[in-house]
Amino acid sequence: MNNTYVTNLQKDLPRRSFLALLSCTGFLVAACGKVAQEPEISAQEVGLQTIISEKTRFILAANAFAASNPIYAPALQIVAEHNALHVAALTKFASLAAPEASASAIPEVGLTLGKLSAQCAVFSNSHLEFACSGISAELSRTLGLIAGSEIMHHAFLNSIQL
Amino acid sequence: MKTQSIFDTESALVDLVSSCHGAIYAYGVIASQLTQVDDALDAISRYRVKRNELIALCAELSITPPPARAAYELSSSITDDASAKAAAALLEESACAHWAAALNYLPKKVAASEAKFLQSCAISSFKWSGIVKAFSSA
Repeated sequence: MNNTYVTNLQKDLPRRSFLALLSCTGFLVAACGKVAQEPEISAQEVGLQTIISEKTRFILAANAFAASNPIYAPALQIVAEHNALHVAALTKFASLAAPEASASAIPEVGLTLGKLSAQCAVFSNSHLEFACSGISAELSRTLGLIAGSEIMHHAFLNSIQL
Repeated sequence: MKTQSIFDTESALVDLVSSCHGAIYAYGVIASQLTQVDDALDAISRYRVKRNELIALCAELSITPPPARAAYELSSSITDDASAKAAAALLEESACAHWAAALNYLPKKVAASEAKFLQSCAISSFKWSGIVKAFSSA
């Protein structure tokens, strides 16, 4: 009787091991699948990354324009520095690493002070719209302050155009 | 015009109406020291229009707007043309900060117009002082 029991158990073991292995494999595949999936990014995060990226490109463009038009360099330096402060403030709200802007993304051809000024106004309008879109209260407040600064930049650059 | 705690639509509207009352009072003092008063008088009109719009919105939402006080503490001493301009710039900068804090809590239908008002405060601040800032301070 005992021998029969042992024999049955021995026969059973490989099958049980196989099923256990199959179960573990299934679990591992499911787990790997989850890891491999793209992390879900909120609309706030997407908007934030876009703003940071656009501002970074703007800073590069302003610096490039200032280098070829030294008369505007002091004014553009102020605007670029403020935008860098805006990026630093916004980065605190971002959960993902900020994308880096490449130099090739700068539209150097045909760039004018007027276009840079217009871009400041576009930033201000679009960032206020984003601030009113149901994002977190603190980010909304920060964007409101940034939008105020951006419209000041627009007025400032317009005031120095030759 | 000290920043009140803003945490919902009611507190946001109460804060903005108070800001308008404070600005109207402060511009009265500012105008009395300016050599050219037109811009200050225009600013008083701008804040009166905004105050009336906000009070109408309060009524619509069954919110009791705060009454104007007899006097407000000014953030700086206003004794001449230069100090009056500096105070006006500071006032507009402060208004900008109040509107920025309120944006998130305002009804959707007025968000765009209040965002425009924030921009007008920022531009006024620049016109008064000729200085651009990275952030407005409250």
